[in-house]
Amino acid sequence: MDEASKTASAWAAINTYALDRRRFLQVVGIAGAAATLAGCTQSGGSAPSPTSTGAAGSGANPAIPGPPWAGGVRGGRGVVLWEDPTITYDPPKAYGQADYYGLQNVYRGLTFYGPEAEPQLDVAESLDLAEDGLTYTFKLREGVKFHNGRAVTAGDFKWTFERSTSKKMESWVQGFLGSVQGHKEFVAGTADEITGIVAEDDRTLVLKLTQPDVTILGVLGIPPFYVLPKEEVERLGDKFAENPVGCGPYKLKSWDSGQSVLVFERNPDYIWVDDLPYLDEVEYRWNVGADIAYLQVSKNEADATYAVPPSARPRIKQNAAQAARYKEWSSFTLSYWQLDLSKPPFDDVRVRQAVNHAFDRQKAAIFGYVPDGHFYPAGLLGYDQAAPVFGFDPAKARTLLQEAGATNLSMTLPVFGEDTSLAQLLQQNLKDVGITVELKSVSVNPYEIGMELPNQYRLWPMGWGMGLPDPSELVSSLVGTGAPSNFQKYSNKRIDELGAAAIGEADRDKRAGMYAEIERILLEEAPYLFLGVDSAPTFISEQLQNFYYEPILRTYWDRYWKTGG
Amino acid sequence: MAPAAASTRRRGGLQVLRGLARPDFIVGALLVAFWAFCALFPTVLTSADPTRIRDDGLTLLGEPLPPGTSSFLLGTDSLGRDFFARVVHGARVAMIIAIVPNALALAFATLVGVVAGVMRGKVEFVLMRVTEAIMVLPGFMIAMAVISTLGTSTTVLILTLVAFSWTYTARVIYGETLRLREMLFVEAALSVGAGRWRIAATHIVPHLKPLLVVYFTMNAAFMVLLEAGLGFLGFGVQPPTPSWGLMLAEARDQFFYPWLILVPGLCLASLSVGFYLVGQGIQNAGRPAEKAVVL
Amino acid sequence: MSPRIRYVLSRIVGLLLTLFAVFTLTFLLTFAVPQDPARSVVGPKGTAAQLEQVREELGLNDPILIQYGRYLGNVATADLGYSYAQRRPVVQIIGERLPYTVVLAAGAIAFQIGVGIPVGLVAAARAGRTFDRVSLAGSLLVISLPGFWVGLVLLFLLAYTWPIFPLGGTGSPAALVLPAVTLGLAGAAWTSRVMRTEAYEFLRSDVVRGLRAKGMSPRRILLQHTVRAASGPVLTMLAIDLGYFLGGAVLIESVFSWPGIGLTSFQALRQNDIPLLMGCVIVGSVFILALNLFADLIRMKVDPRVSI
Repeated sequence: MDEASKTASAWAAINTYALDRRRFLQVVGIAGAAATLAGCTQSGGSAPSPTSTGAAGSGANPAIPGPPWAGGVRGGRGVVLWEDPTITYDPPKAYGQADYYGLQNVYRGLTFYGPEAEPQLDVAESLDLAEDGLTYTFKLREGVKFHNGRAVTAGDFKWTFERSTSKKMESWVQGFLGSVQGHKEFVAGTADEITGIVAEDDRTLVLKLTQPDVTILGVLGIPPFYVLPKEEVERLGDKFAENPVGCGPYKLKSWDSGQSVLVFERNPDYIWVDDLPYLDEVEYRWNVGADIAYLQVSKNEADATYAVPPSARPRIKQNAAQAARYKEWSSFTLSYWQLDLSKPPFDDVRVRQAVNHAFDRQKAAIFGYVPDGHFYPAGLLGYDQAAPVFGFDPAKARTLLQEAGATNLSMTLPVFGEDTSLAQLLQQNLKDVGITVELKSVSVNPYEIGMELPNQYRLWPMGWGMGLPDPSELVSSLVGTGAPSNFQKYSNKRIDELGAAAIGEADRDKRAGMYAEIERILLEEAPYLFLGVDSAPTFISEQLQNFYYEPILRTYWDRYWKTGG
Repeated sequence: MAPAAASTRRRGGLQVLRGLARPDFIVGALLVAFWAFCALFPTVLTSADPTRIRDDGLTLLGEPLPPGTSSFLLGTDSLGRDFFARVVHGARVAMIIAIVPNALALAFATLVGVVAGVMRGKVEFVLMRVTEAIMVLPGFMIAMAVISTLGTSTTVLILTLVAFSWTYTARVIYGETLRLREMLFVEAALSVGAGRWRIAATHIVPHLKPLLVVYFTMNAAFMVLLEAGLGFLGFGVQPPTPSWGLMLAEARDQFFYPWLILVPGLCLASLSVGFYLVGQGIQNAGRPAEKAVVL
Repeated sequence: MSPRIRYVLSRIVGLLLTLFAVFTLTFLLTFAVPQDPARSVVGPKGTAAQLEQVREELGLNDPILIQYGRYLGNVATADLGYSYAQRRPVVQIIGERLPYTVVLAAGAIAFQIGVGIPVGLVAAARAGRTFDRVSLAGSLLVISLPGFWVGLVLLFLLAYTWPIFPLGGTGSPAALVLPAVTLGLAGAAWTSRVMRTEAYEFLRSDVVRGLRAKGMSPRRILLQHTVRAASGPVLTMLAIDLGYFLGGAVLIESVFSWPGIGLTSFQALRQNDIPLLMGCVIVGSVFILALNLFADLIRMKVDPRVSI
């Protein structure tokens, strides 16, 4: 099964669980006798389940969630290279790669992503879901401890959830617990806790929702909702970002800002330390250019890089030894340009459609994109192969522009980052239909994007790395009226209606249909210049084994191992 | 980064020309002339559009074509554009940078240096302190900051280059003005104040001319390299206009396609060498061989 | 007060005035950049009320002169502000990165001295012969090469094609070699040329003729006397170079991913982290200024031709 359809079936699995309790429990529960779920029966093997082989590989501890592992050798150190210049290990604040994709080494939470990226129980040992789908009761495992020795309690989860979604934190996950009772008041500041999160005792955590939410288990499985120890966070203050303390398979050994290196070492108190992790230590080096990273990994001086310069890719593919260690995955990072709908020329839908037709999207493949012209990434619920994406048609573009009376257009296109190749391609395409584009290299402070760009430019590049494998995130963050990253102030009532309805829709096919309709509306109204997703390359050393990758959490360093020491 | 230059005495025109006919000057002049030709008449050497991304410009896997492939004399770059055309057209940016901001900086430096040297006293103090203040600023860092703020138009680029390269020359000219004051016995006349500026104009400035010529040529090289450096980091001329520095930036990780890295660097080097040799030749015009100065 | 001391004092006064001018210029630059510091603190979802509150806290609504005074006071107490991108004090970041620039600068100067001076000496001793011509032509070529290009080529040849050196970064002492050589190469070329010129003059001077007449060996003349005589301008140049290196060799650090203040300033710029950028500028300026002064003092001491 290729990656896209694997993920598709995984999302399919997620979205059935809201009311179809039996299937839900199969998906979420641990196959095998290891866990019993309070107050319900498990149907066992009577219906096929995507995880019926168990989260773990053959013979390995079936309680451990996540992708397969077995038969690895202990020992050694893995070295991972990243491009980010700065990082922070405070989960709700981590925006980059070297931090976000390292959080699950040191932190863990109620759920974790399974081999087909479906949520599985992690620190939570069992889950009881009420019939109406509004009450989730988690029982925590015994013996889960923070790196400072203290046992993890339900109260810690409540504290962490409130911290991550608090107004003060200003995190991108602020709205993700929107369906929990009391969340609205908490964020508005009229309450100082989220009443819907209740720590009944040290090992029991209850979530009360205001409406059925099929995404909530997935939300709990992403790093900003992994549990933190309150006393360490308060003691360390700002320094917590460089001194992460969690309950994950690794703990922090050292952090050297000057050299941009941090090292994780195996956590001897990890609840499953007898099985995982294999590697004694994992070293993350950030601030490493992609070109240098590629060269180092090719010489096995480092074990993995997730940034491979587009110029190196053809070479790798032609070299059999290197090609075996290289893979391009379809990512969940959208790339497109937002168009300013409030001013000419993009207030006219014909002009917006024209630029979409003018763009020779396929050529962008060599710059590291999967340019299928969709809004959704392939594999996401709602992705429709047959959606009416724009085709490369400069003649049609010119006609549309003439109809709209938009001749002799000229505008400035801002470019972030140092690689202007894609922008130059677009520039030439637009020139060929009569639009003169000047490129402008812009240095960007992430906070400024929304405020500055619409004032100065008519269109600007936009990227969105999905944090949750669910299309609801795109609606609530990008497309909905008033969404935080909807910088061009796009608004469509029908989309808002569909988005609201889809959050609680249990029927997977119906839900897919709703999101597909949203994409169709987007393709018609063209508030964006569509491109596609980034292609996510991985390049690993010859020694690294059991390399597993999925687009949301990406790194699973607790279950890779190395040959040759 | 040049040592103080001695000025040459004026001679008859023909003698100067003969003095220039040395191998290093000729080589330098030829190099500069060649690139000037490319800058002025690029279409004579190539009819291809340097900014056009060509459908046939890349291999099936998306790699640049090596030199000598079909109609591409120097192959193509990472976007599939004719590399030879880009190199030739890139000379235009290089020559503009070598001349315009250079001349402006030199003019400004002369103004400051002469005024400080003639006026002395408080004016001199203030001018020299300001000059030093600007001189010690890490010019490159600030140039980046200014350009990223004000935008990457050619005007901003030129003005920024001027702003950060006039100071050294100003100091040298100031020093030379002082020296000339003593040497030409105009000290008295200048301090009296009568017709101060006319004296400066008729006596001092002409003697500065050889120095200015030399500094013009040397700063030309410096200016070209400076713009290349800024272009390398994305602060020079904006794409798709071909500039050698920008081309080097685009080729930065193209280890497998070495012509993309080697050729623009050699072009920059040859233009710089050309300017240096011209400057050196002018300095040594009319000097006997053993007294030849090496810049 | 001796004239010499008066000179030094006046230079120090000049230095302080220049520093003052530098701080003023960087302060003005922070205003030139269209960045609202309050926005950076509050984040994209901040409300207008929050912005206003933060502006009050940061004192952004105060008249410019008061802000300027506060700024000067901060700089004087080595408080260079708070980095937006890294969320920690600028001095801390610079404190971590500066040693790398210092090490790189030291390496470059060592290369300049180690290569430039001997080459220049020998060239002067054999003026007009092959070594001289080759070194003159070679140094001219080296000066004309763009430094970052040399760095790229060296990386390509000596770190990638033949893996003699590491591919950038700071993993091992060997990692210093390529960036230091690249940085020092142009300077070495200049040094050799200046050394050659000065030594050439000296070797043809009466002093040397006198020493020869006394029967001193050419080698001793060369090594002892010539070096000392010619070193004045060379030392001055080296001090100035050191100042510029310490000012942050942005290009070279960028090519080799060498985490000094040059690369830091470039990254700060890319992230619109104005306090960090300005911190780098100030630190760089201080070094350049200090070393220019040092260079002047050297020239004063060593070069008998300069009078006060």
